[in-house]
Amino acid sequence: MLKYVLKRLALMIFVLFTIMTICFVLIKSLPLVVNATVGQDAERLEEIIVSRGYRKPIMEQYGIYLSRIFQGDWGVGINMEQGTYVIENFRQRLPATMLINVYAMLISVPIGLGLGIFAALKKNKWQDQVISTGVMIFISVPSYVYAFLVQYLLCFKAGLPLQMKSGTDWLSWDMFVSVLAPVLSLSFGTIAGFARYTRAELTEVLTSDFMLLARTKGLTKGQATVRHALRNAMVPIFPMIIGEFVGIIGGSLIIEQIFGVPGVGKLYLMSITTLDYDYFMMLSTFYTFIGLLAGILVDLSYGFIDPRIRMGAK
Amino acid sequence: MKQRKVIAILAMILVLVLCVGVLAACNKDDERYKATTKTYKTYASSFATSWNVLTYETQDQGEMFSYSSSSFYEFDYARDENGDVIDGKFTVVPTMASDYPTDITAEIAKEENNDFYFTAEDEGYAWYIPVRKGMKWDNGDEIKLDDWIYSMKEQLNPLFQNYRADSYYAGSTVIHNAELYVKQGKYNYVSIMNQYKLDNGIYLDQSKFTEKDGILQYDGKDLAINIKNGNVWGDGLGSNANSFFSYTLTEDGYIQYANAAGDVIVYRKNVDGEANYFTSDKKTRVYRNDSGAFFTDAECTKALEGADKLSAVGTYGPYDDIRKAADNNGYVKLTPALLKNVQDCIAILHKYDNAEAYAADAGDYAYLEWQEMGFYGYDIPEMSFDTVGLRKVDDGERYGLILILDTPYADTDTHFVWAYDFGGNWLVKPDVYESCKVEPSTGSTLYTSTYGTSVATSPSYGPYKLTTYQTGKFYEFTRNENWFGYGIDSLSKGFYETDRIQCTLIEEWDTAWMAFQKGDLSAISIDVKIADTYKTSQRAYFTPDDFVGSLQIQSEASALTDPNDGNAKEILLNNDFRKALSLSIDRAEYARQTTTSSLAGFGLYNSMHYYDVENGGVYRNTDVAKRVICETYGVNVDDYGSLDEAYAAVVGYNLVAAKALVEKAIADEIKKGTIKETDKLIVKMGSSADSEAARRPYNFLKAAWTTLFEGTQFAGSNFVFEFDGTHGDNYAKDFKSGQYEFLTAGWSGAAWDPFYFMMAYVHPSYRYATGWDASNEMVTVTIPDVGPDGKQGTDDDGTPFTTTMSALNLWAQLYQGVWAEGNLDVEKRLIILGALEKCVLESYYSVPVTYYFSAALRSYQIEAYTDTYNTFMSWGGIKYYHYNYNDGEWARYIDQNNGTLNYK
Repeated sequence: MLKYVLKRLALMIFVLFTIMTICFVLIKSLPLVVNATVGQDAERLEEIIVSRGYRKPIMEQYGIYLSRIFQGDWGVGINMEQGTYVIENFRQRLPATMLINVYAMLISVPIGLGLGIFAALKKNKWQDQVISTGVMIFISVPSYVYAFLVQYLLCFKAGLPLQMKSGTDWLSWDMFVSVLAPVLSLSFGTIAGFARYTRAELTEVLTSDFMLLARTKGLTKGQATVRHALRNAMVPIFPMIIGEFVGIIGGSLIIEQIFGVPGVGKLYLMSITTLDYDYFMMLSTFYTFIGLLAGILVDLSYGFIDPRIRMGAK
Repeated sequence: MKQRKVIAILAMILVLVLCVGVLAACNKDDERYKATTKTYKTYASSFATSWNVLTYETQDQGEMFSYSSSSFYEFDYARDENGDVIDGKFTVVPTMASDYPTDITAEIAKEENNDFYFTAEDEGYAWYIPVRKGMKWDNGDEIKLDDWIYSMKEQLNPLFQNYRADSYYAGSTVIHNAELYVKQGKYNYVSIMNQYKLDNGIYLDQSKFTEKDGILQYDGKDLAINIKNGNVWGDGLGSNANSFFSYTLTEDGYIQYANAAGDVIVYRKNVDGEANYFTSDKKTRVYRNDSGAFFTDAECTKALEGADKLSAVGTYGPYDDIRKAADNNGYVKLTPALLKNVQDCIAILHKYDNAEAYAADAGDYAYLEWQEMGFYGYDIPEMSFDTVGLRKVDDGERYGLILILDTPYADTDTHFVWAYDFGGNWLVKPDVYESCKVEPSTGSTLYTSTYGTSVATSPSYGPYKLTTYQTGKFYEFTRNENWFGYGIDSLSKGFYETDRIQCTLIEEWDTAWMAFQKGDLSAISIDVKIADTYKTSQRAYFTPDDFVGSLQIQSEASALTDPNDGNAKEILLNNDFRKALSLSIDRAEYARQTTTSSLAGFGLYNSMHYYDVENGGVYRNTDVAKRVICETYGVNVDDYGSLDEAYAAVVGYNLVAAKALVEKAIADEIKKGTIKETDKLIVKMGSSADSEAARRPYNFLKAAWTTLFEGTQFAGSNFVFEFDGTHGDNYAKDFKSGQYEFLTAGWSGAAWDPFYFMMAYVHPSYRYATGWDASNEMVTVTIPDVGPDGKQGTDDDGTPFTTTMSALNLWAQLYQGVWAEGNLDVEKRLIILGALEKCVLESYYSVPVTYYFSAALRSYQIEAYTDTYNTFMSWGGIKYYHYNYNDGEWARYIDQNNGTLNYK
C-alpha cells in the first residue's frame, strides 16, 4: 500500500510539473502588447516589461520562475490585485469560498442522500416521481437562474441579506444568515446530484440477491436496507462526496459574483484576462495539485470503504 | 412517549430561539434608529486592490485615494455676489496651496550654471507654489515640504519605473529633468527639443558635431531621429511626416504612386529585394516597364487605366536609406549621409526638391529644422534628484514648492491650468512608503511596492481616511479629523456632511438595483431595462459625457475584397452604400432602445466639447458646427427660418433616400465588377463580449438594415448579419485588422480641446477606419480675413484665403501648424475644424449615432448641491452632498416603507 501511495505521489509530481510547464508556455505565448495612450511614454512602458524579464525566451523565464517558487516566492500582482502578494491574497480569499461550500456540503449531503434513499425505497411511487422531477429540474437549470430566483424571493422579498456580509467573523450568526442564500443556491444542484446518484445505486442494490437473502434470514426491511443495501450503495457514492469536498476550495464564479462572496472564484479568470503571470501560475499549480491529490484520495478511499478493493495489488 | 418528549423539548428550544431572535432584532432596530451619522453608500462592479498614487492605472484606483488626498488647487462652483451658484461657471481655489502660484521664471533663469531651456524674458517656466503650514497626516504627523520632494523622487525612481512617472514629462506637465531622472543609468533616446533651447530659436551648432564610429554626435551624445514617432514631426510637418515616415511607407510597407491630382493609383512593396506593384486592393498585381509606365499584365502590353504619369508620393530615395537604418523602435542614428537625407526629406515635405532649394528660401533653418524632431541617444548618467525641477523653499518669506518646467504653463485669470493640469498630487508618506518597498524578484530588475494596498499602508491627508478594507468585498472611509481643511471655513464650512463612505463590490446590476430599493445604496445607474419606468422619476438625474457613440464600418480593402466568394461585402467600400446604412438608422429610436438616456447623435462632437472652456464656448453650438450637421444630413438651411430651426430639424433618418442609395450602389458595383448579381451580403458585427448590452445595437441594426434591403439584391436571406462577441480586449485591434465589418465604438477625452480631439478621426494611429487614408482625402477650406499665405496678420487684399490639402495635413496645420492656437483667431480655426468634421462625416466610415448621457437615481436620503450639471464640478461630489435623513432616520424611513422604497 505504501509503495502504491509513493508511486502515485511520484507520478503526481511529474504530472504537476508537466501541466505547470504547459500552462507557463501557453500563458507566455499570448502576445504582451504595450497600449500607451496619449501622453504616455510607450518606450518606457516597454522598458518596464523588459525589466520584469518578460521579453526573455520563455524557457529561460520558466527556469527563473521555478527557481523563484522553490524559494517560496510566488510573486506580487502586477496586472491584477496590484501590489498584493499572490499567496497572501489567495489565503485571504479562501475562507469565504470554503465557508459557503462547507455549509453547502453540510446541507447537501444529508438531504441529497436522504432524498435519494427515500426515492429508492419508494421507487415508482408518487414520492419517487416528485423527487425525480425535482432532481431533473435542478440538474437541468443553470445555477445562476435559481441563484437569481433565490436572491429575489428570499432576499429581496423575504428579507434575507442580498449580499454576504463584510468582515472576517466567519462563524458568527450574522455571517451565517448572510450566506444562507448563496449556500442554498449552491446546494440545489448538489442535492439533486446526490439524490439522483444515491437513488440509482440503491435501487440497483435493493434488487440484488443478497438483499433477498438478508430478508429471508429474518432482517426487517429497514435493517436489511441500512446494514446491507446502504453500505454497498455507498461504495461509489462516498468517493463522490470526497470529490465534492475537494471542490470546496474551487469556488463558484457565478454564485460568488451574484451574492458578493469575496472568494477565489473569479481570480483564475481574471489572471488570464489581465495576463498576470504570477497569479495565473500560482492558481494553476494549486488547482492542478488539488485535483491530482483528490484523485489519489478518491482511489485510496475505495479500499477503506470496501476492504475487497486493494489498490496496486497484483 | 420518549419520542414525544424529544419533540416537545425541540419545540421549546425552537420557540426560545425565535423569541431571542425577535428580541435581538428589536434591539438591533433600536440601535439602528439611534445612529446620527451620515453614510454615503456606493457600490462598484470592480474593485481597486491598489490605490498607490504613484502607480494607479484605473479610475476605481483613483477614486480610492481621491477621498484620502487633497490637491494644491481644485475647481469649485463660481458664485455671484449673493453667494448663489452661477450655472456652468467655475472658480479655482487653493486647497493645500495657501495662495495662487507666482511666476518666478525670471528669477530662476538668472541662476548661475543652470541648464534650463528658458531665459529671464520667458514666462510660465518656473512657479512658486505657496503651501499651507501645519497640515497633518491622519496620524497627526506633520506634512513637511520634504514629503513632496521625497514623493516625487520616488515617483521618478528609476528602480521602480512607476506607472505614473511619465505624467511628469510625457504630457502637458514637463518637469525639468524628470525624464532624464527616470531613465538614468541606461542608453536612452531623449528629445532634443526637451533638452535644448530650440523653443527660443537656439539650435545646436552643427559645426561642433563630431563622429564616432560613423555616427554623428553632439556633446558626446548620438544624434538620431525616429521615423515611427509621428508626434514629434509637428509644427507644420506633422501630417506629411506621419505619412512620409511612419505610415504610408513603413507601417504597411507600401509606397504610393499618385497621379497629378494626388489620387493614389498604385501601391508598391519591396519583397525580397524586388519591387512589387499592386492596385488599391493591394492584392491585384500590376507591372511596371523600364520607362515607369504601369500595366495589368507581366508582359506590359495592357496599360493600367488612369495610371499614366504616376509618381511616388514623397521621394523614395532619401527616405529608403533612413528606413533601412532604423531599429525596431524606429530610431535612426544619423551619419552625415543620413542627416543629409533627413534634411532633404524635410525639404520635400515643405514641397521643395531638396534641402538646398529649401535653404534658398529658409536660410540655415532648412538645415537646422530636423533638430526639432531629433533625439539625443546616450547613456544617461546617474544623476542627483537635485537636478530635477522640483524644490522646496522655506526662507522665512516663502514657504512652498518651486516647480521648474520645460514646457511653460500659461496661467490665466481663472487659474484653470492649476486645477486641470496640476490638479493631482503625488504625495506619499515617507516612512510608510519605505516600509512597503519590495525588492525585485529573481529575473526582474524592478522594485514593487505594497503602498496603498491595505488600511495600514494607506496614510491619508484628505478629508477621509481608510478604516476598513476587505479584498474583493468592501471598504469604508471615515472622517479624517486631522485633515487641514476642516479648520478652514472656506474649504469646509457647511460642506462635508458625509461622515462615512462605504463601498461594496456588487458585480451584478440587478443585485445593486434590489439593494438600492432596500435603501442600501445612495445612488444607482439606470439600466436600459428599467429606463422607461424610471427615467421620469423625480429622483433621476442625467449626466452628459463627451463620448460619442459611433458605428464603425470596415474600410480595409484587403479584408473586404474577394470577387469570387459569393459575398458582396466589397460594397462597404462604396460611399453611397455606407451613406445608406447611416440614413437607415433612426437615431432617436436607436438611442432609446440601446441606451438608458443617450440622445441621437449626428456629429463627431457633442455638447461637452469646449473650444473655449473659460467662457463656455461649445463647438457643437457654433453656427459652423450646426451647418456641418445640416449639410451632412441633407437639411437645406434655406428651407427654414433660421440655422437653429434647420439644425433642430435634423433627424438623420431617411429610409427612402437610403433605399435609393442602396440600389445605386449595387448597380454601380455590379457594373464595376466588384460584386455579382447573385452575391449575398454576409457581414459580421464584433464586440469585446457577448452580453445583452452588446447585442442591443446589433439587434437594432439588423432589423433596420433588413428593412433597408427589402426589395433589393440583399433582401431576406441574402442579408446575413452575424454577431461575434469573442474579441475581448482586442476588439479594436481585430476590427482594424479586418476581422469583422461593423463595430459600435467611439471616442471620448480631450473634451476641452476639440482641435486636438480630431486626431482620433484622422490620425492613422487612432482612427478605426484604417483603410480610409486621411492623407489622401482632400479638403478645401476657405478662411476669411487672412493673408494670401493663409496667415493671420499678413497683408490681406480682402479676398478669402482658399486652400486644398489633405485632411491629415489640414488637421496638423490646425493643431500645431500655421493655424494652431495663437496663430489664428479661434473663430477661423472653428471653420477649419468644421471642414474636417464634414470630411470625416461624409466618408461614412465613422457614423455617429448617439451623444452619450448616463442616467442614475439618487436615493431619498441625499441631495446634490445643484439641480444643474456643471462640467467642472459634475454634481459636486462627496463634499457637497446634503442629507435629508441621518442613518438612524433613514433606517426608520425604510422600515416605515416595509423595507422597500418606490422610486417611480
